[in-house]
Amino acid sequence: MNGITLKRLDWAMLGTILVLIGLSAAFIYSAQFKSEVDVGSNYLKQIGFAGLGLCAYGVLVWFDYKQLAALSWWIYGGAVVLLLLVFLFPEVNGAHRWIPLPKFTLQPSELGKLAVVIALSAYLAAPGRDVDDWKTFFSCVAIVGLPFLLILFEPDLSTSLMLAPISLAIMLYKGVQRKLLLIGMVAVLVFATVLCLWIKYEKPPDGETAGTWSVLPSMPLMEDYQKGRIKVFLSDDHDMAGAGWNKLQSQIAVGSGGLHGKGWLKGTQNILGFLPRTVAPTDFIFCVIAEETGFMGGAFFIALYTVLLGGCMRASVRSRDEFGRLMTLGIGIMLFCHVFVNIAMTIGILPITGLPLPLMSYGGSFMVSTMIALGLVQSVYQRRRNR
Amino acid sequence: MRVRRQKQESLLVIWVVSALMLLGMGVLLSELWKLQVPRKSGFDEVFHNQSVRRVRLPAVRGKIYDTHGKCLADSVPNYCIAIYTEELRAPRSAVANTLELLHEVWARVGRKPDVSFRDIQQHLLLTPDVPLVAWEDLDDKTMARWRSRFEEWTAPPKGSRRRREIPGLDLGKPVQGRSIVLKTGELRKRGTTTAANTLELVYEISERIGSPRAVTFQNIKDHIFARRPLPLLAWKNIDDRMMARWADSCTGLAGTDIFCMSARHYPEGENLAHLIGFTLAAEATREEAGERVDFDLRGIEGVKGLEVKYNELLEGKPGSRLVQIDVSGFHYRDLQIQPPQPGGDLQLTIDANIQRFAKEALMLRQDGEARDVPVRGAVVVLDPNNGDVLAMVSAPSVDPNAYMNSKRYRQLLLKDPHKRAYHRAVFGQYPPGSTFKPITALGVLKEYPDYGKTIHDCVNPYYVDKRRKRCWIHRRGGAHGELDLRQALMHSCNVYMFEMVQEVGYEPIHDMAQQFGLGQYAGLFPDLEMPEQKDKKYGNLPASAYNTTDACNMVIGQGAITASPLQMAMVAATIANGGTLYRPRLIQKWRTAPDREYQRNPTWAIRRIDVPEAALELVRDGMHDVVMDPQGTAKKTRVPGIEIAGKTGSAQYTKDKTPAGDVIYGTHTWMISYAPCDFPRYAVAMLVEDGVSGGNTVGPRLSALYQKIFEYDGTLQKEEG
Repeated sequence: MNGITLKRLDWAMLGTILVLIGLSAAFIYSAQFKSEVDVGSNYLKQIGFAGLGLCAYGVLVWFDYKQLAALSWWIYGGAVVLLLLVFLFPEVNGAHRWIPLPKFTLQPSELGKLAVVIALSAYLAAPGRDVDDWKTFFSCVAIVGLPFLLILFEPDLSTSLMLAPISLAIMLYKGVQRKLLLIGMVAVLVFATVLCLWIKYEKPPDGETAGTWSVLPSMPLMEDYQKGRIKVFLSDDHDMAGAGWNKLQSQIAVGSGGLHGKGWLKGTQNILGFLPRTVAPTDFIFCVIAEETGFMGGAFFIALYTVLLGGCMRASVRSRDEFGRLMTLGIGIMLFCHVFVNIAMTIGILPITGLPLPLMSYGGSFMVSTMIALGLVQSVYQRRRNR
Repeated sequence: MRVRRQKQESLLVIWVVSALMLLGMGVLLSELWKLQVPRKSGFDEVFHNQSVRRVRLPAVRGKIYDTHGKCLADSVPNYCIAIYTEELRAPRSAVANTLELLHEVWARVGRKPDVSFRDIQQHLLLTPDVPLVAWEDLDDKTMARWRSRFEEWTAPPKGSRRRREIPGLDLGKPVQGRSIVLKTGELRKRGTTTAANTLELVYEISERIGSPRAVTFQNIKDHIFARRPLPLLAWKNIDDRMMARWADSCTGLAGTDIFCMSARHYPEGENLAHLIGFTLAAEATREEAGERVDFDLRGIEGVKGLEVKYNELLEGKPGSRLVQIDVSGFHYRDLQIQPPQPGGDLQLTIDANIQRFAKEALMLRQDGEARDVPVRGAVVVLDPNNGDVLAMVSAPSVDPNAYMNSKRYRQLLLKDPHKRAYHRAVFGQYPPGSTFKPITALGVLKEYPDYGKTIHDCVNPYYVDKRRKRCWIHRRGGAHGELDLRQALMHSCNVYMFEMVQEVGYEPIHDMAQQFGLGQYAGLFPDLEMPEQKDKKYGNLPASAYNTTDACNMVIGQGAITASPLQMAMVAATIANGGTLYRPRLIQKWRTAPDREYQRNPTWAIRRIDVPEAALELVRDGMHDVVMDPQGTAKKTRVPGIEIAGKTGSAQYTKDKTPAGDVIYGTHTWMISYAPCDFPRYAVAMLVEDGVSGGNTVGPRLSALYQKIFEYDGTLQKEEG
């Protein structure tokens, strides 16, 4: 029962994690590499974060995740407080996303996502929860809604939207108002399509040439940069020098990588700085990877992530209780969304968002929160049902 | 029951989610393949184009030498203080921000700020948080202008209601009292732009070398906008003192260095300006086939004379540097450098010494000449035995070195009343006057070999078709009396020529002039002689005369006949060498690069003049008498110890008209000549505009020229002392 044995560890997953961390340091080094004398120290910091993450991972593997169910409200409350604290600090680049601490800045939204997964799982997995009751449904909506709104107002639309598929899957699994959720999903899809079409055919702001079909009035409630990103996504040649620049450059970088890539530290697109240096090691790390290692390397990375996601799903299926199952499912979906959206935007099939690539992108909060999440998965798998 | 059912279904959800994940990863994989493998080459090209720029590197311009190898046009280094803006990208200082703001405001106020660079530095060092008063005591007009320009500056951007904040300025109070105040505290916290950093460095260097700034803030911004990978040349043509100061005080500064460009220097200065021409900074890039040049480090190119005629040979082949640039457009690294190939050299037939003598001789003032205008005229010295141009002077001249270095000089030149830039020796078109008479004589002698003995009587007054025609001596109340042809040449008697042309007609004279190349292209250098009038004749030689009076005018070189000094020098050379008309040769040899062999430019006879030997002999004797006979018109040309032959000429032309309508005549004074008589080595044509007479105006000058030339070549011993 309580046998924490090395034999029961998911070694495939742990190995994948370690490989990814090692490669992360290597490619952050490469992303910041300009010349022999001018290498950023971010790769060292990333190794430090990874070390911190691994400690958390180790602790969580030994820790019985079931106790988290009892602590879930504390965790949730703590996350909400952190998300509120964000607003006390000055804006950076027009957003309240970070809490500056000595040595590094904390991004509470990363921990917030995890807290929502834990709280929602704990709430729904509680014995005697009547899933058909509307009260349950509204409670779920409230649990997700509060951090959602807080993150939305930071503003960080993409991270807040990430909560939707996670909670949707957990609630679908438990059968909370399944019909309503499915109908809602269809409605959202329809709405998104309409939104895209509207933006595509809306009248451009003054000074830009209007297309033949651009007749709709300007879409309210959205910032110009958000519309710009969607326009870039919808057409290949929108505003190449401005909003379309990153997409174009990212595609050029990936495309020029070819089958075998240009070799480590030889990604000229990256080294020349056509990929803006600020985003190359963070949101666009996959671009560097694809340019330097080509399709072979990119496919290898996709395979590693598939192994990771498979591990989460396996832990979910084989979990000994509902709480573990829900939590690992949520974590799996969270990781998937990050991986998919990030890689898809790098190769130009989704609009550009600020979602980092788990375990690869430079960033302390995200690295640690990802490692915590994976530690929880390992903890669940460790205590799986015996067959 | 219900619990079991739910459990199975919920596992289904997990399986569905897993399947969706797998599908997602599959989509990523296939999209990645599509982007990376089939479309790769397209991206490669895009990638290459966007990161590589070609910089054109000018070659060192070839040199021009005189016949003895003395350098006439030299390539010298032009030292510049360059600023490498790419090294100034990092945020630097509040001083830069303050200077940038100061210049922005300056452009709008239109008045020099009341603080110096040192003031700003000191202020930021000691009391950075106290606002800096940059302008004081503005008058009402300036304040009003500043207010309105400030209003424009801070106008809200499109789609916004809020006015634009200018960091360091107060939106509400652009003017405080009568001062403009910069809030330096606010500027201290901000990052600096490259332009601002460059500006600060320019100020700093200016302060250290003690020389005013030579570039404006707008220049800097333009440079960073358009030519970022190239160095910004902040001071050009710096002299040794500035260079020493720079080396003393500025070598520690980052981002600045000495940059060497190629410049032209003409050691002979004014002497050869018309012939060699000069260079200027090359205008916009000329298209080079197949190669895209993104940045042109501008070289120099010829704009006049030989420099432009042989520009291609002299300028060499420009090299190029392939530069990879980074996202901000700065130089990242050199991919490939193709060094420029230095230009080829020219060696001229010009002898710099003779050229200088000719110039000096032409400038000698004679009695009775107006002192308030410069001597205007031309000299051409040819070697009659092969047509080599030994000297070619046009006066007044231009200083090519000043021309290249001073825009003011160039502008003054455009308004010059004496047409300094005009190459009189080659392009000047003057009536040849009596210097035409040897041609007249030869024309007649060819048809009537015995005409030399014919005697005509020069009487005063003399009438042709009831119109009075004058010999020059008539003006002095005399007449030449009875003369033969040789004497007529010596005395330059017009009446003899009038009688002659009435007997034989204009036809033979025209034919002879044509043989001598009048009215034709002289062939000094192809296409250069009359650049703006390609199909126009070179000089003028009418094919027929309207009437007898017209014919009389033309045989004494008046009327419609015109010729350039070069053409008249060719006439003198042809008579001197016994009848061979040589193409004037200016380029002795050339090479396409300094390490190549010289190639010779051959001498080339245009034709032999078809005229009996005896006729030539007679004309030469006549020309000998002009100088050497005590009664000759060019007695003043004599040089002791040298037999010189020549012919004077004074051609009247319509200079101006008085308000009443009377014509004011001017006189172009000429001499053509060769020496020594028995074996000629030099043939000279000299022209002075608005002189008195050929013998008096040109004669002494020619004498001085011959004196110096024969002393130079050793024929005459230089007088001691």
